[in-house]
Amino acid sequence: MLWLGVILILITIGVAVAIGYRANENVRKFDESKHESFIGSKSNS
Amino acid sequence: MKPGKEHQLFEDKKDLNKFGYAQELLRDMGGFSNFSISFSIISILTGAVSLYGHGLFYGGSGMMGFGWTIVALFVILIAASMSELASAIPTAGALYHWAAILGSKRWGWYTAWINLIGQIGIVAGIDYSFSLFADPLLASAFGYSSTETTTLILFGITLLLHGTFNHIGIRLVARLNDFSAWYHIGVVVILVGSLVFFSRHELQPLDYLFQVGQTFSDKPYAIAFLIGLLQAQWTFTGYDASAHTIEETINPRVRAAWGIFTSVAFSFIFGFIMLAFVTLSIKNAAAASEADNAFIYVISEALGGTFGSVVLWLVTFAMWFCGLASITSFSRMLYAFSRDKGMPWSRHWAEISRKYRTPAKAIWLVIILSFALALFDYMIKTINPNTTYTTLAFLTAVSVVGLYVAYGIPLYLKLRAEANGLFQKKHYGPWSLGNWSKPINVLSLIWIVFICVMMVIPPNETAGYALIGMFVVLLIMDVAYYKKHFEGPQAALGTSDEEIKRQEAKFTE
Repeated sequence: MLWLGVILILITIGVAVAIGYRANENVRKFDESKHESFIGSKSNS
Repeated sequence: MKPGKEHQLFEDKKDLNKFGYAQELLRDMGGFSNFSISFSIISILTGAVSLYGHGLFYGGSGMMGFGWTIVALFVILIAASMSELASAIPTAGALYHWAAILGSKRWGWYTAWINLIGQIGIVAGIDYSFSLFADPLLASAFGYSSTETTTLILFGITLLLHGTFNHIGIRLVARLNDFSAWYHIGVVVILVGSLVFFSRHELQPLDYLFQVGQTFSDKPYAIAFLIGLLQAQWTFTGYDASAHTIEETINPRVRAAWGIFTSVAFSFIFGFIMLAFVTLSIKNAAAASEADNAFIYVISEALGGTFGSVVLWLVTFAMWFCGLASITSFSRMLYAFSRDKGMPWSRHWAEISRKYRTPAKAIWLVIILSFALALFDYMIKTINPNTTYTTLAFLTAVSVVGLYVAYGIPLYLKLRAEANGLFQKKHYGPWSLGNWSKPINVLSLIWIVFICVMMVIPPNETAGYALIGMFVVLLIMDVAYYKKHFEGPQAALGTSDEEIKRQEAKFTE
């Protein structure tokens, strides 16, 4: 089962790194002028 | 103050004002402090250690290799999903506020209360763990007998101490949390180094960490393994703290989002390293699983009783830091919910101390509620001494289910709002996952449903009954009063700029 465990650990680290990389790219590319705060609607019930 | 920081604080305040809220809390936390508060609440030295025996008993050594990693994989996805929402909607209400504006005010109300139940469980569970560890140590030092009653008294004293520190201010708590993050890493390094260089016996071969099929319970291995996941799943809770302290964080749309995500990712890595070396040091797994504290048993066997005692003290201090941070998080959640009048006597809990700029009354409410939960369990055990479950398993199961249901609701509502075209690309904050968002949200939700069922099956059915009981109380409260009277965070949108300025002026006078 050792190889299965090692693969699982690598997958977990890989997923974390990929998400972090992706998020970091989006933080850098973020354009405030195209952003609109999502504040919901006043009549939202 | 540096001009750059001043400008950032102004921008952050402006972002908060858009939601109709005044900047009442002191915004002073940097990125590391925001990370530290969640890292301290996850606290690999609390969850993974205090439930080490639980994991080993049910899942054997394979629980530490497979169980920890499987849970971490899915929790990383959940954390990423939450980071995205924190970046888009940066308010201290976090889960509650997200659910209220992505769904409706009633979704928000239920999310808040379910989150609150989980938070009570987590604060009580952490400080109770601390008391369970510290009481026997103090008993041997001061010559008294450690009993459930002395543990409960110590638990009460600990809560009082944590309440006082939190009341005094976020600056002090943030510094203590910064120290706590380094402290956790330092203890793991010392522990691993000692096991590698000074262990009395040879370490087990690496594949021991991934050995499956051995359980010390009377259940079939597959079921036992799933029950054992509570160890890792409880450890990975409380990282919503980075979102609850978002109104105290500078540049929160980026820093709090990273705080949520990185606290989980680094906890996985350091937790795995620690669990791997401790598990590889096991000499007799059966004896360890039956010991009062399996973790300390393994350490003492490997490094001797003296070192075992030292580790016990180090771990106990880590739990103290964890409890301190969890009260910070819980009190901010209560404060945010109360400023929208979601609680009985909301006016009091939403009040900010002018001197310390902390939600002082909310902090003390947290202390009372957490003590009440442990007292309830203590009384049940006094009435029926033959109960088979442990207080810790009860508190941890309540917190896992409460928190993860509260994590799941806004994720579901976000997917729904996206499908309806309500939540669009332009609404995402700077920290986002792009087109990975939807599949990550869906996988997160699947795991949340699965794990919530797993956490309340026997022997933890008492936690399930407690949660059902609490939900019935919520239904009654909702139908009887809040359905008509709770206006939700949407009501704050009507607050005028003048009113916001007037509220903020109270703290600058």
